[in-house]
Amino acid sequence: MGKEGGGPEAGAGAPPTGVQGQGRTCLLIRKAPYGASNAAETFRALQAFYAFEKPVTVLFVDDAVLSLVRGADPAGIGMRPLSRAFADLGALPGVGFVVHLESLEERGLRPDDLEPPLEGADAFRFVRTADLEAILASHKAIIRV
Amino acid sequence: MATLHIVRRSPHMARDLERALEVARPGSHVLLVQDAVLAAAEGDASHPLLERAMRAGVALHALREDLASRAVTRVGKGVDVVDYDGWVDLVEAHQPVAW
Amino acid sequence: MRLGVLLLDSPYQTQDVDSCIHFVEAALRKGHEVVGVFLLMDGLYALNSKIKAPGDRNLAEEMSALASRVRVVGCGTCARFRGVVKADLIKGASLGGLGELVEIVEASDRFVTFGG
Repeated sequence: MGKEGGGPEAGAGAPPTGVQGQGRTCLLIRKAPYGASNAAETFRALQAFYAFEKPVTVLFVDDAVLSLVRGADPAGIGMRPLSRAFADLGALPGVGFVVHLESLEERGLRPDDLEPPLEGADAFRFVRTADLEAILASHKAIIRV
Repeated sequence: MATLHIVRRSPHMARDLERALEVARPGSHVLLVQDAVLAAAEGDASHPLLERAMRAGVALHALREDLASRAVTRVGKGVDVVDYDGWVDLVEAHQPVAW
Repeated sequence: MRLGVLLLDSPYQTQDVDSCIHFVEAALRKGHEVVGVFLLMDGLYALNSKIKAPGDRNLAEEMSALASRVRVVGCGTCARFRGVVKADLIKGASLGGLGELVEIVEASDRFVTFGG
């Protein structure tokens, strides 16, 4: 996978970094963490695809952008924090994270509000609605947990 | 390959249909199943949203069995009604994504 | 086509188990190959052979009929978290790891998610 250049929207419209033809699975996640277990299950599914050496993209849309937000403290609700661990998985070879910009903006968030990728790892890719379908279409399968 | 956006929740209860229609490009398809078929009803408030999508080249489909179960007898102009076999054909022809 | 399916919701709570079964049956009727149906999260409850549905469609029996024709696998961890054990499973279904989901996806041309 190559390094992302330029600002957050660089590369919008181009296939996700590292895509080789039709072999890549997309894990689409829309729900916020903690209120439902879908985000945590996506985390587990991501680990499985990585363990089996299958390239995978995680596409964070709608409330799922909260899965990466900094400063989340779920101790008071008896749960363990997800954001840092999730962000770290984005650094694994063959894994790409794509975050929907409008979903951040709708929630008063900016890319800066998210946990940064592990040092030395590829940047998360931030894309606009207009480019989402092309991203979906460039994957062999879309699993929406 | 075009995308088939499958929407199942009522447009009155969730943002799924709106999101699918924002994402769908000309040449792609949207299939309404389960409670989402309410959007296909002729008098539904979603009508302008669906019309705009169809004018932009997005094909709209709704599942017959779900329409019947929700007593929707008149669907908006241009909405294609399909049965389960039709759903299978749509998946075969296009890349499915479930919203 | 070679079809892969993921089911996330429990029977009766929502219509998704019904839609999944009707869709998969239509695919089989049309001669398509169904590589597998993987059940995750509350989808595990669809594999519970103890389901009784007096006067109503029995979704566990319908899933079992499907499982005699296609590979039906539930996520073992999700089963554990829901108290669904191997002895409870409908005939023809099994429990496995997420690696089986990866396998199903790899062997499919089209993949559809139900529920969630």
